[in-house]
Amino acid sequence: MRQRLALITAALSGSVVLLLLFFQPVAGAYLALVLNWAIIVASVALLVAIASLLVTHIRFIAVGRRGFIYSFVLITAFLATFLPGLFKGVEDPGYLGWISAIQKPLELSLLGLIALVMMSAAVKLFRVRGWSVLTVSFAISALLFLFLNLGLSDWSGNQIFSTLIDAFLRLPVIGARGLLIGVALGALLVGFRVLIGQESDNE
Amino acid sequence: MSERSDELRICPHCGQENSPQTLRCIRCGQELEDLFQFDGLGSSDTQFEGEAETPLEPMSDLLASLDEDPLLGDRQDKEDEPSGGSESSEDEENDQNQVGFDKPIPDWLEKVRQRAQEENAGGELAQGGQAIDQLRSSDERKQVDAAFDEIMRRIREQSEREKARLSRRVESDLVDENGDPEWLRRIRALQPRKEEEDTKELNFGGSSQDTFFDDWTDDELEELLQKEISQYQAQSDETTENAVEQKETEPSESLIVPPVLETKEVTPDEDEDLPVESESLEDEAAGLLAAADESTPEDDFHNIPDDEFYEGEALEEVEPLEPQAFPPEPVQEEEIQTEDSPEDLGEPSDQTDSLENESSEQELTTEALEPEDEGQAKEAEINLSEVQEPEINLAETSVQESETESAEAQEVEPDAKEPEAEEETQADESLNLDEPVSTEDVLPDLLLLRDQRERAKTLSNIIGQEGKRTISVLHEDVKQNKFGRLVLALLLLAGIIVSLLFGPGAQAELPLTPHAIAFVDTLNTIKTGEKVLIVLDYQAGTSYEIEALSRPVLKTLDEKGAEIQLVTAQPADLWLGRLLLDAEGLQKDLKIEFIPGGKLGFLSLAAGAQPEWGSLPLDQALAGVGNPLAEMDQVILISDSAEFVRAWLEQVQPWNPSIETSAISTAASSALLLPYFESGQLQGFVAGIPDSQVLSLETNLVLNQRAWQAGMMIMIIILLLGMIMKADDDSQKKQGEVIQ
Amino acid sequence: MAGISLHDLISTLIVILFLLVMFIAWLMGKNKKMPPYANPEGYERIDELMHRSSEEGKALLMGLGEGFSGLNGSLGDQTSLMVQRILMSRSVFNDQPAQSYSGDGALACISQMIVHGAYDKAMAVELFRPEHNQLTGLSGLSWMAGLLPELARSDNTGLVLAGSLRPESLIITDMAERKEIPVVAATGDISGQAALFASGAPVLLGEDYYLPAIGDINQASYQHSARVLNLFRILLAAGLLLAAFLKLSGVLP
Repeated sequence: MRQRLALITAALSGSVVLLLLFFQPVAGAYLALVLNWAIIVASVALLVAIASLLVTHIRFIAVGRRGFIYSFVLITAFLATFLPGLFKGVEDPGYLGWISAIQKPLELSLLGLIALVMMSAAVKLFRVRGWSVLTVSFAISALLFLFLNLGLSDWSGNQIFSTLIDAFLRLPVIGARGLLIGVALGALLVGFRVLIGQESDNE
Repeated sequence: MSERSDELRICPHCGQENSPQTLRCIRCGQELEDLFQFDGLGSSDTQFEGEAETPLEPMSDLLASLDEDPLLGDRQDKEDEPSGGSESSEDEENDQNQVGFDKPIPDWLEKVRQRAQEENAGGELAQGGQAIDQLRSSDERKQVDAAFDEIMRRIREQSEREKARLSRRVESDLVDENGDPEWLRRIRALQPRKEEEDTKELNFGGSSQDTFFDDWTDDELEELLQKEISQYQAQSDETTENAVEQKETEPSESLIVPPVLETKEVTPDEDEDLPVESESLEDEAAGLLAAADESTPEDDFHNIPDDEFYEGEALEEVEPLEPQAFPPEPVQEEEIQTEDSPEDLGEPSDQTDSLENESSEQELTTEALEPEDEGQAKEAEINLSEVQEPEINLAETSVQESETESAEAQEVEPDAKEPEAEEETQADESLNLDEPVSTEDVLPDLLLLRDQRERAKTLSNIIGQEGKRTISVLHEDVKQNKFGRLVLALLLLAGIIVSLLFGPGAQAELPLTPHAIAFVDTLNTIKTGEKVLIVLDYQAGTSYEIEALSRPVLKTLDEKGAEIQLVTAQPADLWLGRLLLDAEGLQKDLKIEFIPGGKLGFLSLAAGAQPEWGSLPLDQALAGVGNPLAEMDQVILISDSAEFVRAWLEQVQPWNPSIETSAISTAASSALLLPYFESGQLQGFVAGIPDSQVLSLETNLVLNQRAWQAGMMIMIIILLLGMIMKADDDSQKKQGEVIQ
Repeated sequence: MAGISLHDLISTLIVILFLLVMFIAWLMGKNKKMPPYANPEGYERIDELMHRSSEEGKALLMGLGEGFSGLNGSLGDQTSLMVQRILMSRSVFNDQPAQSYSGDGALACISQMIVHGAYDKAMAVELFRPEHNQLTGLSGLSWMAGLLPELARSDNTGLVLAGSLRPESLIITDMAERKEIPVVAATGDISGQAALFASGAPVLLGEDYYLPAIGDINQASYQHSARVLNLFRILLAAGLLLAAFLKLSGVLP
């Protein structure tokens, strides 16, 4: 019964939102109301998830679980971020500078790693996946755009090259459009399945 | 189980002991004339003492029922019609009386005669006795015997039923004001709608209702269960021993045919001769069938616990307690009943099985003895009803139902069945185990709730994967060459560092893309005082790439005197955006509004309306600025995620189609944004460093062009290297194959 | 506020058409002679990982992506939750419990429900621990940063990435490969698919991601969904061709 209740709730919620969207000119206020509810629920869910994370790591520290030192670091970092923001406000320049001084290098180093990873992947691509239409077309398009973005020469002076390059630059549109249609179809299918109750999250 | 020796009748001809009700000697077939001594015509002290206390009313009832018997009635009518016949009977009566005058008349006989005279019963007694004598001497004596035996059996059964009912009512009286027992009320609570229908049909059954134990409680049933188990074990032992003995010795007590088989043994001829009895049996059978059928629920209502036994499921309880989803066919059910070992028959409903098991054993004995006529066999049946009295008393309903089921399933002649019974049999036979059976046909104890089925499936899946061989372990044979990776990484880093350190950065000659040109055109259309909404959605990791493109845009807008409003749904963008604004020295009082709820918040602002009854939480959060999407002329999305841009264009932008939307994003998102630019949903966009040139930016202000080119060159080389290595591997393999 | 626009009419038409196609696919599904579709390769690999986890007695990790409550606009995480449900239904009694890591609060809560439901369905609620499912960050990169240390543990048997994945997720697959931990990536994010294709991990491309069928689980739903998608794809292709023809012939402006 509990599962059915969740299914019914999900299906009803989706149906109501769809109906309100279709009849938005007359039901705009109700649509805003429902969306506000969803926002509140999502926000509370975030708080619950954060609380769960903290409680879990506090428990790890309390029981002395292996690697609890990382839990200690997590709790400390959380408090060091949360408490100043709470007392000084999120618009305080000192607070913003301190946060960004930590966060920016961390994320940038992660992104920098991607370049190395991509390079390694380029070497292994054919060894792992072999020769196929997909891998060959992937390699050709990668080489083409890498070469175009080198910026070694200006091709705009030559009409033929310019037209050719324009055609190449439009190539991604074809693939992206096909992929987007496929993904949209999949999303539509998932949405329908949620609406008719075939997708249950809490089973 | 066995008769008492003092009740046996010894045949005067051969000395064989016979049961008291036996009409003929089972050995020599000689008629035992002195059987009917209860009417006072014959006397023995023992019987006199035993019957003296018996009131006369039951006897008169018995005789009245004899009169009502159609077989006798016809005969009596025939005898009554000719006057000579009556006279002759009167003469014979006088003769008997005269013979009796020679002997001393006991007091009881005098009383009987006096009462008979008063009630004019003497004539009936005399007439009945004479009629019986005449009938016995006639060719149709068998019919009389059969009718009489049937009446006797019914009388005994009725008395036994009354005894059992009385005893149970003394033990328990847990019925409600409607007369419904507790078990029935509990079933109704579980299945109220179905039970109402059941009640109607049971009322329709009328007679069959009496056959049910309507006053049994759980405790009683539990007690009965224990009692029956012990009794059955004892009886089965006795039965086995008796059967062995009776095969070897004189079968005086072995003619035990359970009442279960009575209907089975009825032949069509007998049915014709016994219409009333047959009809009554059919009525009972129909009622019981209906009741038994109704005990099968139509809805998957509940799993009744195993310890909650109720009579309506007597047959169903015979089913082995296996997690079986579908009920077997009735025929199979019967087979199961007969094939069940005694150890399996521990439940009260196993009365049926026990009886049938015994009957199967005793049928052998009966067949071996070859009774001379059917009347003798029926006597044996009557004996059985006496012999098995405890069983019948304890499980009357089971016996009744088993009678009906036996009559239905064990090859009862079709003429003897009710149409309903036939339909039921056909319906049951039509069941196919291979086909899915609806929950209406599933026994309640075998029903699984959906949740239970899913749990069972989960456990089955978990068990099923045990021992299943893992097919291929991913990348198991791919050895990671960490040294090669290190070399590649060092090569890339070295190339970039050298490019940064040596020589000035050259101006890149990057191609101008249509979408970037369109973006600039859109930006140039903005006039002074126009409202431009800037939505921030990027992370710290991509901030350098994003901000390099955003700064000139913000500067342009500031110069044009556009009214800028910044919003974000990313908490990180609160400080990232502030840093961006501060770095460019843009409007100091420019505030970044946080929109809670992410895309839901944006959708609410775009599609929602202010309710008349009050303000919503989101409205209160934006109380100072109002709806940022209202009355905007342009929207510029600054996002490192193509998915965010897509969500905006598909869900938010359609609600404000007059607002032109453009975007600043990363190079990785470029390919996915192109279709939206082609369709006109996006006025234009700039994505990453390659589009920076269109913003009249010198690329060296964004990054070192030489390092950029070095990195791109290394990537091209590595990609080509990978292809060459693969081709080399393939050629080596081919060569190896050729050599082999 | 706008009334019912052309977009609304087109979307209504698509929805009606989709329902019709679903009905036709349902009718076609009655025909037993039609050969069933094979499972997508990526989901077959997830099946292998599940068995491997069971055999080796090690933990199976699952990265659920960025989430769908706030910042991401795709329905991809709905599918990742379905994958998680299937995966959890097989691994509740493993020696080491499966671990899930989410990049969003609502996603973490819902996946927590799924994990609890899996233990509940297996009648082993006492084995459920909240730490089996954790929030590791509020953005794509912070989620990755939280997942990487867990991946570095020695008692992991595999990693399933399912949900909204950015191209940056390539870092995760790279680290898994260096740790010799098999990875399967399933995402509805196209740029993520493109980036992950360059890695050695099996990856689900296009709409395959939305058709989860792992082993014999969810087969009926998968077969029906695949049939619907194929039919609808044919219809869309025909519609596009017709529109192109009308455009070229000047009928459409």
